Amino acid sequence: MIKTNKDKLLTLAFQSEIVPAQVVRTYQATWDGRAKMCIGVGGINYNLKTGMEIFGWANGDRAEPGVSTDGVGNDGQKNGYRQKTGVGNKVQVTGGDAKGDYGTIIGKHGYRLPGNVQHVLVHFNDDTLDNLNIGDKLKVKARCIGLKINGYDDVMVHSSSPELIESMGIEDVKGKLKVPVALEVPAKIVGAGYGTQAHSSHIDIQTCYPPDIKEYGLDRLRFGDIVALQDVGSNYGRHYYRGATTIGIVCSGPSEISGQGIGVTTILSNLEGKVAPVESREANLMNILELE
Amino acid sequence: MLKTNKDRLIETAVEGVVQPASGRGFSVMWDGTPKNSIGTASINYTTSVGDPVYKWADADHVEPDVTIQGRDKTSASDCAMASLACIGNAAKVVSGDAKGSKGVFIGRHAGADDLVWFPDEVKEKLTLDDRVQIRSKGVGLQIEGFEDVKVNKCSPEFLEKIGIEVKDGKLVVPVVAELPGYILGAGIGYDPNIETVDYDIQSTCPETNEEFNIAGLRLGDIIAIHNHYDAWGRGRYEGSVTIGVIVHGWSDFAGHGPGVNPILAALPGKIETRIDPDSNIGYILGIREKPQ
Repeated sequence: MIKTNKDKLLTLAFQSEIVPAQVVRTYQATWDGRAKMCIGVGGINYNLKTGMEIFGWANGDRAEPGVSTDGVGNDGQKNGYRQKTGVGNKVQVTGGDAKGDYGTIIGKHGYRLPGNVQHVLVHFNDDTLDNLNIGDKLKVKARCIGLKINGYDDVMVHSSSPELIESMGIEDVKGKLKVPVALEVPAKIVGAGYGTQAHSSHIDIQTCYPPDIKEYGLDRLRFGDIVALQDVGSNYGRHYYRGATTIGIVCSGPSEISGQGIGVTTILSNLEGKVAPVESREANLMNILELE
Repeated sequence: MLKTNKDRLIETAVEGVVQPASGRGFSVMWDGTPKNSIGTASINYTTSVGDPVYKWADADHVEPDVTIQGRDKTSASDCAMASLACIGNAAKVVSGDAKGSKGVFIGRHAGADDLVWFPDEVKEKLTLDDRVQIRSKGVGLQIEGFEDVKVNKCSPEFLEKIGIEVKDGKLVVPVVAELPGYILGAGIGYDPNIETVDYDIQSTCPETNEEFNIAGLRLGDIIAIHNHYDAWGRGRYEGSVTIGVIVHGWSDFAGHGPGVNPILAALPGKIETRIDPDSNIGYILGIREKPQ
């Protein structure tokens, strides 16, 4: 069992709202030059949920599970919501027909999506989902920034609540953190998101070379799966770094756009091999956060 | 000698204005250290096509020669020049003390943006709001018998001078370096447009920097990227080859590095390469003397 500095974390309120679905009306060009009407980014996705398979959804492209939200106010305030909230933080509905209900943050998705949007994704149970509307206001008691695992100051923790990190089944074994993951992914198939800052948005596992999907077991992935990206560092920004490991959460479905693919919200990073993935089919947010 | 459809290309005037440099103060590098970067936009009196990508003091993404931006839309990347100007197109100063002076378009770095070479004496006369017109010609360029090879951002004159040969039904392209796709980073998957966006050879992994001699690259070098198919976007495809031109220099931002404009891309079996240390657009376009 690992211990964290959770008692020292600041807890701040951030306000947000449910954002509309995003489409590009001129179609998007796929990697091989076809025109595609892509759907799945933004809005309330009623039938895409944490734990479900990510492949096979008609016209889906980078489709997001659950409810897409973004901060309110000026750009700085929006960025505050995108950067300082963590997966596992509770979200309270503060307006509309579902006022008073709660959900849980399940990921951050936002690099070169249709509309150039950035989203924080939230899971709600089915009863709440039916009562939500675009534009409904939300409040998050964010508790995330500064989180450290005791004894591992050189393992960067991003976009994570203490509840997530403490429930993932991470073990401290001989100076390494053993992290249960559903899949290990080599850097050679990682793509869009390199060069972005590690504390918000995501990085993609490319799906534009179709044979990769079976060869690397991507077809088995589900929304909310914990994955390891080998030779990828996400300490401050996201980059190729031989020997590094990044741990992340599957936050979107695949893509047919060149260089894009399955979105991964990055939560742990170390450059020197102190994060050691261990394969486990149970490594999904549904189990870790006990979502309904 | 390659045969092309050059007689059927539309030649269109596009215009840009010399773009002032901006400052952001210190930013965080891949290893957490701060840097106050210099090198993008403005008139660069120090660095020109053919110079090294590396070694310049506190430089990041250094752009050779003169940087201009379109003004016909709000975003420079939406302007006509961003999509239509091609490497090797003729440039002419149309205002200010350098009015009438001639230069050459040498590539595009998304963000700062369009790059033009002028002789040193013209650089001395230029100032930061001078207008530059490009006779853009190259969109739609195709090589006869190789219509499935995507040609991007090349004037017909430049394409013909690269020294490409046809052998056994394949294009053989002279390149300075052969690089694996997995070290390409920022800009991958950015969007399906290859005309307007460059992408970066990551220079933030010390091990691959040494293995592939990234510091030895020069601005304007022609390089091969293996296992990437940059026809409609920038992304992975096993066995494909993309040929590119280095448009900007080294970076210490995670996932960034020397920038590349893709100029040729094909599915496996159409492009081969041969090493030629002089395969640099400075020599090819006759704007830099070859070292003896």
